[in-house]
Amino acid sequence: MGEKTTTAKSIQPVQNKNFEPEWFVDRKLPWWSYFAKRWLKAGPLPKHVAIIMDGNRRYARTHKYGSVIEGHSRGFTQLTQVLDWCRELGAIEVTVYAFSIENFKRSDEEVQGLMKMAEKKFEKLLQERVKLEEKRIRFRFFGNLKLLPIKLQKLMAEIEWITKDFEQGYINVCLAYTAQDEIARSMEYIRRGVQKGLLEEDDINEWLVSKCLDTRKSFDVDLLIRTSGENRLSDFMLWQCSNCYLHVVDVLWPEFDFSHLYKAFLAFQKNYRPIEELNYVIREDVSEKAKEKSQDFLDWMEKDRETYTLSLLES
Amino acid sequence: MDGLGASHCYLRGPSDSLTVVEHCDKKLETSPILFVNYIFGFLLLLRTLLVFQPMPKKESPKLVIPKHMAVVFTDDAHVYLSCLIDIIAHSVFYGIEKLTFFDPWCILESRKYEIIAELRKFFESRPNQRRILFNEESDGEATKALRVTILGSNDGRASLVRACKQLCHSTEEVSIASVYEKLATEHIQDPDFLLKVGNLNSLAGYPPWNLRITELLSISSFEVQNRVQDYEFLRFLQAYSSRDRRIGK
Repeated sequence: MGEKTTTAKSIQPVQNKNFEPEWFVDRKLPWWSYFAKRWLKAGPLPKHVAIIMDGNRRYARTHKYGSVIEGHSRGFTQLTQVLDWCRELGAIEVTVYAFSIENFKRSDEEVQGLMKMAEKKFEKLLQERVKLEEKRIRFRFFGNLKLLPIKLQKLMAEIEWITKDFEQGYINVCLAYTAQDEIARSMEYIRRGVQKGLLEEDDINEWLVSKCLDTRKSFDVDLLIRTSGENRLSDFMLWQCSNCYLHVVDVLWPEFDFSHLYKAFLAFQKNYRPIEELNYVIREDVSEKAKEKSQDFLDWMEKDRETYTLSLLES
Repeated sequence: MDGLGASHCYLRGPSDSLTVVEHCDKKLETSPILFVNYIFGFLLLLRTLLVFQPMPKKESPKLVIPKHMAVVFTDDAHVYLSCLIDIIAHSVFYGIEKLTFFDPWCILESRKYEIIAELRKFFESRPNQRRILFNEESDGEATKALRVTILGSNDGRASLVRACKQLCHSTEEVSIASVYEKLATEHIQDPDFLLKVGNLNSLAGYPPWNLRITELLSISSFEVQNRVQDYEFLRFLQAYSSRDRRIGK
């Protein structure tokens, strides 16, 4: 990530006994999980799981919480738990839909509450850096991050920076994200590449568009889970999920438990072969030569993206 | 019950059958058998009141008709011309404005003109129907026409690649609106409602850009393999009508 060395100075890791972690909490799995995992690992496992965490507000209303923000806070606790479970079941990469660009239409109170909550949680993550280093989990943030408050952007840049070399697990958080915005930004990079003479029209193909998305360094999405029973994509990872296995669960996000996740993985295994066969039919083949031809453009694009991140880290 | 001076209370049980409960206005008799009968009747009434709910006032939800409906076949065994004919006929009846059919193997797309000829022949023989336009035909003055579009896997992500190739020469920044504009020239637009037919729970490469807020409904197959019954189609529309479309709010 650039030649300059920039260290995250703002939040220091905390290791004392009284510190209560929020991101990495040791929780026990159900008693039957050992056998369940052995069974599951006999078949193909989804490498990359994407999750639409729907239902926090309804949970807050049905459980008579004081505000919907408390529902979102409960949803965050649930998130940390599900991330652990996904790792236990062998999913190396998880992408979660935390905040859509459309969600800015909600009340000011809820939007500000969510931004404040995100700040606190990311500060906490930096304090739990020791665990991050121990588990070697890389965090990435997808979305039109410039729409977010600058303090939040700086925290996210720090988290991305300190975890950039970790490779044992990947957690991607989508904030100020919509898939259409992501695809449009990707196409804008391609347009600028053509204008600069780094690309020609014939170089544009599905592989190139994929390499310009926020998910350009991610595995293909294998499994998309949506909670709360709603059966729509809500502008989430439209390109990436165009032929993945879709699993809708009719429980609210805070009520999504290990058995629900396990069933999703089992259903993925059942549909694995026909989806792979379909991928073979619909996916465009791009030659290695064509990929090499676009390498200068891709290097330029990476450098352009890093420039903004580095400016956040240094400010 | 002996039905003495009874008034009837109809309650609906969980099996949806009517349960008739009679209760009596008269005083309790002193005979021990009758006394036991009355106690038993009272306990039965108590159980009925505790277990069963009063029959809810049945409100039929207002039918919301999607302007644009897409049908995606994820199993090549379900792709029948008769299904297309039925779906088009139902769409005409309910006032759907646009229909898109998609299969990832391009079974429909590769035989598009043959299918259009067959569909045209079928519907032109039926009087008083709305006009039906296929793919590239222009609207002209047929503002109430049903537009039918047939797509294949080369209209999925590839449609976005084609849009990108057109937009890459522009001096203006790429925007969401400009991508929509390019896709619209290929008659690729957002469906309000997508019916997925087949056991595979995947969108099978349907044009991804346009599924932003589309309501999805999955069925493993139609009840009769090569036909779509009118009550079945109505059920699809009722399922769509019951969705809560919040769009981020």
